[in-house]
Amino acid sequence: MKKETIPGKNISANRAFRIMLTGFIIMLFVALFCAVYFSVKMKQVSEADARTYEIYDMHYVFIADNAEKEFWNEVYAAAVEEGEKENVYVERLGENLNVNYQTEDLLRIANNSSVDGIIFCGEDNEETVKLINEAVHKGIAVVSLRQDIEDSERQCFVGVNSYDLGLEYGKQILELAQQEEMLNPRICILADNTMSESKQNLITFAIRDCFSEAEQGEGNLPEMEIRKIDASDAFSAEEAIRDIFMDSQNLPDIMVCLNSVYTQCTYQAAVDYNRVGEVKILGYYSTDAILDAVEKRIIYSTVQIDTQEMGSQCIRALTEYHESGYTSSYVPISTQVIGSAEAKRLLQEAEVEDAGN
Amino acid sequence: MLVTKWNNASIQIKLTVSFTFTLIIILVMNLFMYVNINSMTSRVDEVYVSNVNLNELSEALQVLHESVRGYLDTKSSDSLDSYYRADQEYRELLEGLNQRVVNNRMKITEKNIKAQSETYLETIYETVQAKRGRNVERYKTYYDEATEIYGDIQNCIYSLNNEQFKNNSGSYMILLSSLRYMEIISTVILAMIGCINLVMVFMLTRNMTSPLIKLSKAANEVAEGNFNVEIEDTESGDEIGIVSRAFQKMVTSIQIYIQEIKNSMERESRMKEKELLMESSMREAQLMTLQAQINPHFLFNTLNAGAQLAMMEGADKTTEFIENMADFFRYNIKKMNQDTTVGEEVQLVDNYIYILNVRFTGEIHFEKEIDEKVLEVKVPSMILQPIVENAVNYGIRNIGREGKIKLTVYRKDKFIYLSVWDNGIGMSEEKISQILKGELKEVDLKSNSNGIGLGNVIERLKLYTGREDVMEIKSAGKDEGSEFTVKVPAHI
Repeated sequence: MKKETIPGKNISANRAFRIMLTGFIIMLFVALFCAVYFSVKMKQVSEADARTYEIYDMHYVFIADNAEKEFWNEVYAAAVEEGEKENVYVERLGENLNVNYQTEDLLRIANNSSVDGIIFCGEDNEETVKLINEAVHKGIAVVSLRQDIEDSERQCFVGVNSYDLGLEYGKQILELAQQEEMLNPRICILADNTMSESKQNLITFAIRDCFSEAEQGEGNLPEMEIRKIDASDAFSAEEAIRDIFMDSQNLPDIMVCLNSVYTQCTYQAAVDYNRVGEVKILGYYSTDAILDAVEKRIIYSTVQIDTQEMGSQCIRALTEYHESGYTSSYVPISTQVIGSAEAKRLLQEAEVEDAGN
Repeated sequence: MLVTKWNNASIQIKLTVSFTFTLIIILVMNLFMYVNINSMTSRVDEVYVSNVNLNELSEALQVLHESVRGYLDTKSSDSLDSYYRADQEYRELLEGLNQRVVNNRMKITEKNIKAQSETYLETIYETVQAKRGRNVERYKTYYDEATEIYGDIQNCIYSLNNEQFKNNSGSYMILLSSLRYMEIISTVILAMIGCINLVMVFMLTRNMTSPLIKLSKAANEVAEGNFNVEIEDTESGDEIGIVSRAFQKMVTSIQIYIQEIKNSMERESRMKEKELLMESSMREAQLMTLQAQINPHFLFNTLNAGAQLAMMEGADKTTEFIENMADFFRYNIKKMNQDTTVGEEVQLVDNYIYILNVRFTGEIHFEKEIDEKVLEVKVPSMILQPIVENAVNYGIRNIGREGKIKLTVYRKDKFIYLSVWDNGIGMSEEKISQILKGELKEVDLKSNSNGIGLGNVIERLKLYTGREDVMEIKSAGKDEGSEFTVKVPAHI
C-alpha cells in the first residue's frame, strides 16, 4: 500500500541546529570585527600622544629670518637630511612660536635652551656678536650662514664668497653691456642694510675687476650704486624698489638683486611699470617664479646658490667641531648662473617631477 | 554528537538553551560596547590634560617670578619663603617635561622650556643672592635678564600650549567621530544581532512547530478517513517526536484493523450472497414442485384417507402402497426448505422405489449398500431422489433387459459419498459434461417426475458445500449404465 506523505516545509533538526550554529558564528565574527575596529580606533587616538619617537644625540637649532622663506626652507630641509645621517635633530627655532621673534631673540632662546649647536643667519650687529660669543663660551658651537658675523667667535661661516658672487654678476653685466652696447651702464645693486661694508666693497670690486679684465670693458666702467634696503622693516623692500621704478629719469640700466625677495619685487615692478627689457635684472636664487621670469627673459639671469650643499655643510661643520674640537672657519658654497635656456630645462624637469608624483 | 544530543533534547531544554544563548550574546555585546564607550569617554576626559599641565606650569612660573619680584621689592622673609616654595613647585613641575632630543617639535619645545627654565632658575637664584648681598646693580641686571628669560619661557609655553591644543583638538575630533561611529556601529550590530536572533528563534520555533503542523495535517487527513498517511522525519527525540511516532504507530494499527474488518466483512457478505442464492434456488425448486404437482396437502390427506379405507377393507398391500405414497409426498412438503439427514434421504429413495415398483410391477431391482454410521450426517434435502428418478427415467426405462439400480452410501476421508448406479443406456462424455455444467435443459419433465432436475441438485450442492466437485458422473458408454456420485463433506 502506498503511503501518502504530509506535505509542508520540512526543516530537519540537523538543519535547524546548523542554522543556529551559523548564526552564532556570524555573531562571533561581528563581535570580533567590532573588537578589531574599536582597538584600531583606540590605537589611532593613542597614536597622537603615545608615539614612539626617535632619539637623537645632538640638538641643533636653525635660525634664519622670515624673509626668503623658500630659500631657507630648502637649506633647512638639506640640513635636516644631513642631520638624520649624523643622528642630529635640527630644530627650526621660532617657527612654532606664536611671537614673531627677531633672529637675536631666537639666538638668546637658543643660548638659554642649552642646545648643542646653532646655525645662524641674521644681521651682523653688536647684539648678535655678543650673543654668539656668549653661546660659544657656553660650549655651543655656532655656524653663521650666508652672512658672516665677522667679529664674533663663531666656529664656521658657510656661504658664498662675496667676491666670487661679484665676479658672477660682473660677467653677466659685461655680457649684457656688450650685447646691448651700453656705455658706462648704470648699475643699481640692491642689498639690505645689514650687509657689511666689506662685503659690498668686495662685490663692487669684483664687478669692476670683470670690466677691467675684459678688453672691451676698458674705459667703459659701469656706474655703480648700492641701494640699501632696511631689512628690519617688513615691507620696505617692495616699496623701495617701486620707488626706483617711479623715478623714471634715473632708472638704472641694470639692477642686481642680492636676495630672492628683491629679485621677485624687481621683476614684478618691471612688469607693472612696463620696463621689461628696458631695465635688465640680474636675480638671486631660483624659485619657480624667478625661473619662470628668467625663461620669459624678464630677468636676464639669476645666480643659483646650492642650498643642498649649504644645509649639509652647516651640519658637517658642527659635527666636525663636536668630534674634533675644531673646524674650518670658512666653507664656500658654489654658485651657478641660470640663463633662459637653463631655466626652461629646470622648469621642465620640475614639471616632469610633479607629474611623476 | 552535539547534533544528536540536541535532537534528543526536550523542547523545554531547546528553548531554554537558545534563549540563554541569544541573551548571553546580546549581553556580552552590550557589555563590550559599554566598556569601549566608557574607555573612550575617559580618554576624552584625558585629551586636554597636557594643556592643563602647561597652564599649571605657566602659572607656577608666574608665581615664582612674582615672588622674586616681591622679594626684590620688600626683601621680606615671607616673600623669600614664597620664592622658595614657588621655586620648589616649579622644579617639580619641570620634572614632567621631556629632556631628550627627539624628532617631535612639541617635545623639543618642552626640552627648550626645561633648559631655559633651568637657566632662569639659576639667574633668579643669582638675583636673590645679589639682593641679599645688597648688590643693587647686579641684582637689577640679573633681574632684567631673568625677566627676559621669563618672557621667552612664557612665550614658549604659550606656543606649546597652542600647538598641543591644536593637536589635542585633533585627537578630540577623532575621539568624537569615533564615538559617533561607535554609536552607529553599536546600533547596527545590535540590530544585526537582533535580526540574527530573530531568524534563529524563528527557525527554532519552526523546527519545533513544523512537526506539529504535519501532525495536525495528518490528524485531519485521518479524521477525513484517509488512513494512508505517513509523517516524515520523526527522528527528533523531543516530545513532538515521541507524539509523532506514537501517532504513526496508531495510524498503522488502525490501518491493519480496518483491513481485517474489511476482510471479515467481505467474507460475511460472500456468505450472505451464497445464502441468498441458496434460498433462491430453493424457492425455484419449490415453485417447480408446486407447478408440477397438485396441492400436496390435499393429496397427502386424501392418500391418508385412502390408506385408512384400505386398512378397514383389509387390503394390506394397498394400505402399504398408499402409506408409501403419503410418506413420499409428506417428505416433499416438509423437507424442501430445510436440511435433512442421509437416512431420511435414503428412506425417501426407498419410498420412491416402492411406488415405482408397484406402478411398474417390480421392474426395478433396487439394491442398497449403506454405511450405517453416516445415516445421521446432515445433507440438503431432495438430492438423492432426483438422481434416482433420473436413473429410472433416462437410464433403465425402455431397456429390454432387467433394470437395476444400486444405492451406495459410504464415508471416505472427510467426505460422504452417495452413489446411484444403474445398468441403463449410459451416456456420452459430452452429455456428462453438459449435465455437470448445468447446460442441459430439462425440457422433458414428465408428469411422473417430482420436477426437480439434476441441474438444480448440483447447484444446491455447490452452494451448500461451497465446493465445485459435488457430483461425479461416470459411464462406460452406450448401454453400459452410469453412476452418479454425490460428494458432501462429512462435517456439515
